[in-house]
Formats: sequence, structure tokens, C-alpha cells
Amino acid sequence: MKMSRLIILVFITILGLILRLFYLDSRPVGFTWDEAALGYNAYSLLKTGKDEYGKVLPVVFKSFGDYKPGLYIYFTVPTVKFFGLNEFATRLPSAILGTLLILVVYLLTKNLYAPLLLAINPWAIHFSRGAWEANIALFLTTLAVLLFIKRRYLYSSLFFGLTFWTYQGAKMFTPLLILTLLIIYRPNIKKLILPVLLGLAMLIPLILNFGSQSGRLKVFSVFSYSGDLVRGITQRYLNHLSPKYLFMSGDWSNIRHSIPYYGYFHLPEIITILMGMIILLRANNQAAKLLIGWLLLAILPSALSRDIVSGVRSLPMLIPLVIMSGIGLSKLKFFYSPALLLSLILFVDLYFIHSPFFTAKDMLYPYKEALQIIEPYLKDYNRVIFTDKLGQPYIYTLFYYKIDPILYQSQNKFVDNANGDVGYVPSFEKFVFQKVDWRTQRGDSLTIFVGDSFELPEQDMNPVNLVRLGEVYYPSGLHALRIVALK
Amino acid sequence: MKKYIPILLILCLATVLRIWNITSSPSGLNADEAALGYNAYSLMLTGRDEHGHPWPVNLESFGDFKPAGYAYILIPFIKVFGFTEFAVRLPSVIFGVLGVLGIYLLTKELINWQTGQLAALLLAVSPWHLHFSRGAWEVNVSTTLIVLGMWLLIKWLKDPKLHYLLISNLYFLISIYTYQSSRVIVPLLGLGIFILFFKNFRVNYKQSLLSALLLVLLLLPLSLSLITTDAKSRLSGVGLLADSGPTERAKELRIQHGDLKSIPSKLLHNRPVQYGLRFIQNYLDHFDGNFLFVNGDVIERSKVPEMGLFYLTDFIFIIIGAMYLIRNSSFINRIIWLWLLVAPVASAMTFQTPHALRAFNMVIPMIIIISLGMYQVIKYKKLFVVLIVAIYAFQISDYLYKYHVRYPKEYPAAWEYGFKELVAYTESVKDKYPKIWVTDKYDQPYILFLFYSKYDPRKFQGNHTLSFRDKFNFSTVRDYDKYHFESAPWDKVRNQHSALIVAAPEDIPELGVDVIKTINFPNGLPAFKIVSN
Repeated sequence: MKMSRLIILVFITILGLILRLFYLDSRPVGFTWDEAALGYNAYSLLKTGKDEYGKVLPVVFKSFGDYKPGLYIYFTVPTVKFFGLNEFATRLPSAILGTLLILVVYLLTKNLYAPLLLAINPWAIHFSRGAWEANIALFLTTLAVLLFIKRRYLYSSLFFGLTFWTYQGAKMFTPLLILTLLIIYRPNIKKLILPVLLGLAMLIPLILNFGSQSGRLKVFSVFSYSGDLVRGITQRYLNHLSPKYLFMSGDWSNIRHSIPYYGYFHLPEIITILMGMIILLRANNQAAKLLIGWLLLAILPSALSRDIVSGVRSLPMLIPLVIMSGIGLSKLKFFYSPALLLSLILFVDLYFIHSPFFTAKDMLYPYKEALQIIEPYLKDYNRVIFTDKLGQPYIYTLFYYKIDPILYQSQNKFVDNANGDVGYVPSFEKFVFQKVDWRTQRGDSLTIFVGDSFELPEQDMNPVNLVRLGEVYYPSGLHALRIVALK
Repeated sequence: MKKYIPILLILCLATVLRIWNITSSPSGLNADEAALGYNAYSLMLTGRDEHGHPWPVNLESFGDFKPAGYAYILIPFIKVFGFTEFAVRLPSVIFGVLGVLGIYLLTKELINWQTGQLAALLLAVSPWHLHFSRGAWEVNVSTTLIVLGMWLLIKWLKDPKLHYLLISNLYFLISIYTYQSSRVIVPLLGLGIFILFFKNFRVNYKQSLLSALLLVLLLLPLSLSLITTDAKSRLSGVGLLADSGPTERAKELRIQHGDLKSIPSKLLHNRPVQYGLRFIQNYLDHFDGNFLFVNGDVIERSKVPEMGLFYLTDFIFIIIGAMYLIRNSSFINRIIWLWLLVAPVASAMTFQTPHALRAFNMVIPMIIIISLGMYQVIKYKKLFVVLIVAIYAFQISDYLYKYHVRYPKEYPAAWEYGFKELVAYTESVKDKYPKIWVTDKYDQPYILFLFYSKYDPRKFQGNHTLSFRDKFNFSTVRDYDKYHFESAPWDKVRNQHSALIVAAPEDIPELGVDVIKTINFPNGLPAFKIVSN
């Protein structure tokens, strides 16, 4: 590699790293319960070698009953050890592997345009800035493809196998992608025996766990819902290829998956992607077939699931599209850079300045502040009634109070969901996680209440022994939670 | 002779599918159809439109200034077939069939005659094209004219004979006088072709100049009409700038910066940026697969329940066709790409997107690409013919069922059903009442009353006023003859003594009112309740 090329690549990687690390703890604002669960289970592993249920070194973590494949949690153990149990440490593995992905894409394409576009890509940045298992799976998948093309089949098999340990969606996409690779590159079968055996061996622990997860699969599959199936699946499939999804608004069905008013690619890339596609179609070589196959198959897991569109399940689309965009950009070169730069500025402004106003509610922003407010009062009260309206309050309590995992494992009161969806924890020590029923509970004593303004109406804040501990507001100024205590 | 048989059969099929049951499906004549019909009737009898303007270029109608082309085309049809629903819809049916012929001729010039036949067949059964061929839609006439104009223009590019160019220009011109969107699409298409084929125009500069002169001359009436009347107001009613959303968003984003006036927040968040983004979004919306193949438009008058604008499986062939076009690009078939890219521009300039009606001309390049894809598949393996025929036979019958059976039941109010029966009734009892009060819940009732009662245009022209414009820049007529059109909530009309009240069912209490007649929608639910006070 020429020196100048290396310098540019280093520069691109640093740019990507900055875009992924800058304000990592607070952008996206808030913290999802999945992130809190990943973080706390890593903490639990670090301290005890067991998950929150006391299971020793699991491959699949039960968590909320959604049975998370565990690799992300193992990646988080060292970061939690170095940086403590906090948002930054929990999100860091995703940010680091999201940055390393830039280098993998460089090795895959051997040009600098695709890595540059990946470094500044909104989709990649967003999913690298949160504890998303899918982002790790994306890195592993891309690395495995690179190794396959370089004919390192054993290593390739190892990383393909690891995707199964990382993310549910990989269970469908990884086999499809491997099949595509085999059809296009037709490797010598003798060389595949050992890699295949390795891959199968890696599946064993997952198969042993499978029985417990089937309920979850039912909840999320499109086949469990009524309506015209062919139309339903086609609609979902086409949604992922719509300009609205890719260039205007990203995943419009789930606010956690993107930021408002911005697509998954910069708008000017619509030209470069189309150009790249045209060039690939005309070339019609192995690489072109792989990229087009990859793109079309990456949508399938998402098209077959319940949601109308999903930015996380279709994340593998990112790689072929960014490579196509890179090919297109290599034709337009500097002529096009002002448009991209302008888009990047708009994106950074939206992401770091505006997004909290729109996403705070879906990102469960109020938990941290509420828990911080009640912390100094805990020793004076016997009970905390904490609303469960926002979902899974227990995991935030464990996470932000850094509850000793040994203590929690011994008194885990998790209740399973009969329909196979996620369950809940009703109480832990002084904490009771339920809706506040102020009419019957207003006569209590030595109790702290955390609830929204419907559960704790302003006009009813009048018992004589009432103490107001604080209010939590969203960045947009809307009221989020009210915290009061009865002496 | 033998080689013309397939296309003749296709044209027969197109005619049957378009004309079968045309008076009652779509069920009810909508206000725009009635307006075109009544204005044609008025022009035929008096040489003036309903509001008394002599030989207009645009019909003022509901203040929306419809291009008058369709009304002029209608005059001979009304002469021959009488002033009926059939006559009003017939020109669109005929132009629909001509469109099928047109796409055959066009594709034959662009690609080959086999693909041309396939394109004609696919257009003949296309849900999008069928929908807008059934009903007096100006857009259908205008689009067919663009197809024919384009066909002759390509013939001229290959073989520069003056009459090709002149007739082509004439088609384009009539298209401009027939539908609003064409006023954007046709110039853009013309400009695109002028740039792509600049050489041809330069070599034949005499012919080019002559046709340019003709164009300018024949566009004069339109320019005059735009200058002297309020016709340009249409765009301010439905145009992009009529939507205050982008302005609001710019404001919202600036507030979030904390400082409204700071330079960065002004530079990043302002009206040009927000409206620019909205235009791009509107434009791109038309390339949404969900809109094209699965769900179609959201406006009930432009959609059939659970149906896209194309058949579901068309998207497979459009991908194959597009891939083929990319791999085998020739200069002449760049016209297909040009058309596909230009087609949604006019629609994107308005604020209800994606819009199946305003972007209708997209159907032409899309069908050409689909037929190209299908032709490649058939050529690759003859066996696929059986499979494709089976799949499409199923989808076509499914569509026809949805259109003719489910559509009127599921969206009964989409087409203004019930007025025919209503007007026949009110006209028969008219002499007994000094005043007839009719609800305006269903769009523009006055024009349907004029249409179905064949009210003498001479009596109407001088004796009515148009109301002030609403927020979409529409006006209506509130009073003529004994009729008064206004919303009819019960507390407002209960004291109207010795009047006949035609109300929407939700305006009338269930009990204690003397309902003398009820008119039902095709699904059996009431459309009108008539009360005699």
C-alpha cells in the first residue's frame, strides 16, 4: 500500500471513530432497556461469572425472556471493567467494531471511497452509537465474507458461526449469505470439510437452547398475523427499497432505529448508489453478483417479520449499498464532495443538537434522572413504588445503582410472559414496580412514589405528609415523571 | 395482414375491458366528470361555459380552472349519444384504447414489435391505466396524446420528414390544453429530447424552427388565458408552497437551537432548504414500491381496495427490464429513462404525494420496462409463458372482481353515487316546494343537479354566483333556481318551513322526523335522507 493511501485511510478511520465516540454516553439521549440489560449482565459476568439468573457463562441470556444471544455481553465485560458500569462502557464495543468495519470494507473493496462513505454513513453511525447486537453481527458477517473471498475458509466459518451467537436476525441471513458465496465462488469442496464441521459445532449450544425461544419467534413473525400474506411480505420487502426509507426518513416505524428527518444514507448518495448499481450490473462479475445477492437477501429477515419496516433487521443491506455508493462516488469524485459535506453538516446538527427533542421519550430518557433524584432518600423510606409504564424499570435500577449481582441473583423475582413475549420483575428489595394507584395509596407512609402526571395528578398532591422530591422533564419541555414521598 | 391480428385482438380486449358496464362502474358520476359534461353541454348550446365565459381555454368550474380540452372533445359525443353519463365517459374510453395502440407504436419504434405487442397487452389490462380510462379523466386523454406525440417525434428522429414533427407537436399541444400536469411534463420531455438529440435538431434546423414557430403561435391562447384570468391560482391552491409544514419545521428546528437568529441555525434551517427537501421527497415518493405495486394511492377515488397501481408480480419484471435496459443501453431507449424521471415532476410540485392521478403518465415508461423484462423472460425459456399466463390470469380476474364488486361496496362515497336517483326525485316533486335545501357533504352537489336535470345553461349562466374560495382555492355555487346547497345539520334546517330537505344521514335524528325517502349507497348504507317540513 502506498504511503499516501495509508494516511488517507487512517484519516478516514479517525473521522469515523470521532463520529462514533463523540458524546457516546448521551447521544442518542437516554438508554434502552436492552442496552441496560446488556450492560448489567456484563457487570454480573464480571463480578460472578453468572448472568442475572445465576446461570454460569451462558451462550444465550434469558434477560427479559427474549433470550439474547450473548456475544455482545462478553465483549462488554472488558469495557465495563475499564470504564465502570455506565452508558459509555456498554455502548463502546459497538462503536469500536463499527469503526473497525471501515477497515474491513477497505480490505474488501481496495478503494477509499466506500470506507469514506461508511465512516460518515448515518445508518452505520446510528447503530454504532448504541449497544446494538446487530452492529456486531454486521462486523462479523463482513469480516467473514472478506475471509471467504481470501479463501481463509476456517476463519471465515468461525466468524460466520459467531454471528449466530450475536444476533437473532443472523440465524436467517447468515445461511443465505453463505449459500450465495458458495454458488458464486464455487470453492474446492475438500477445503470446506473442516470449516463446515467447525460451523456446525458452533451451532450446538444454540440448538440446545432453541426450545425456550420458539415463543419469541412466534411473536415477531409475519406468519403469526392475519391478512394477505403475499401482499404483506411484498409490501415489507419493497418498503426497505423505497427512497423514503433509504434517503428521507430511515425506519419510520421505530424511533429508536433512526433520527427524525434524515435517511439512512445522505440524500446525494441516491445518485452515487444508482451509478454504482449501473456499473455493477454492466460488469456482471463475481463481486457484482455477490453484492446484488447480498442486498436482495439482506431484506428477507426484515420482510418476514412483524414490523412494516425495520432498520435493525435489515442492517446488512448497508454494506452492499455503501460499496455501490463508493463505486459511484469514484466516478464523480471531488465534483460531488461539497454536496456530501453539506449533508454531513446537516446530519451532525440533527443528530447532536435536535435528536433529543424527538427521541427522548422512546429512548426512555427519564429513568436515569428519576433514579438519581431518589437515591439520597432511599435510606429514609421503607418502600419505593416505581411506575412500570415506561417498561422494565427493574433493569435500570440494577444498572444505575450498580446493584451487587450476587444480591440480585439470590432474589430474582422475574415473571415469565405466558404468550412468549417479554416478562417483568414485580419487585426488588424496597422497590415495587407497578402502576401508581394514588387513590388507594395516598394514605401510605414512608413510601416514595415515581409516576407520570396521570398517576400522580397535580391537583391531588395534597396529603399533609407529602414531600415533593422532584420532577423529570423531557428535553422538549414535556413533563415525564413526578417524584413524591409520603413521610 | 396476419401480423396485425395480435394487436387487433389486444385492442378488442382493451375496448371490452374499458367499455363494459361503463355507466354504472364506477358507480356514480363524480363532480369533475359532471362539470366537464355540463360545460360541454353549455358550450354546445351557447358557446359559453357554465359561468358565461365565451369559448374558454380553461373552465373556471369550481375555481380550479380545468383545462377545457376534454369539454371540447365531448361536444360531438353529446351531439351523437345525448347528454348522458355514457357520452361523458366515452372519450376517455376511446383514448384509453388509443393509448394501448399508442404504446404499441411507440415501443415498436423504441425497441421492437414483439415487445410492443406485449406492452400493448400489459397496458390493456393494467390496473392503473384501466382505472383512469374508465371515467371522464382528462389525464387519460392527455397521456395518450403524449404517447402519440412521442411516437411521431421518434419517427421524425429516425426519418426527418416534416409532417411527423408537425403532427407530433400538434398532439403535444392538445395534451397541454387538456390537463394541468402536461403543462409541466410536455415541456420537460421536449427539453430533454432536444438536449439528447440536439444533433438531429441542428441538422434539420429549418424544420425545427418551423415547428418552434408553430408551437409559440398555438400556445398564445393559453398564455393569454393565464395572464388575463385567475387560472394560475390553481397552483397556489394545491401547490407545494400552499403547505405550511416545511415553514413550521424550519421554525421548530430553529427554536431547538435556542437562538432563533443565530447564523448557523438560519443557514441550516430555512424555507428554501425545507421546501427543497419536501420537493425531493414528494418526487421520490412516486418511486416507492409499496405505492406502485401493493397499496396504490390513498385517495379512494384513485384506488381500488387492496390493489396497487400495477400487479404485484410486475415488480419482478420491472427489475429484469431495468437490468436489461442498463446492460443494453442504446441512445434511443434513453427516452424511456427520460420519461420515467420526468413523469412525477408535476405531481411532486403539489402537496399530496404520491399521487396516482397527477403522475399518471408514469404508467407508460413503467409498462414499457415491465414488458421488456417479461419479454426477456419469455425469450429465455418458452415454458415460462404458461406460468406467467397462469399468474396473470389469476391477478387480472382478482383485480376485475375488486374493481367491479368490492370497490363500490367498500368505498361507496368515493364516486358520488345516489345523485341520479336524488335529482330524478327532487325534479318530480319540485313544484310542491318553494325551496329545496341540499346538503353539500358530497363535494359539489350543484353541478350534479345541473347535469342530471339537464338544466338549461342559458338560464344558469347569468343567475348564480360562485362562493369565496376555501383553503384549497375551491369555490362552489350555493343557490340556483329553487335549490340551496349548504350543510344541513338538523338544528339549522328544522325551522325551514314548507321546504324539502335533502340531508346526509348523520344530520337527521333517528326518531321524530318525517323522512319521506332514503337513497342508499351500493352497500346498502344510506347516502341521503329526504325530509319534508
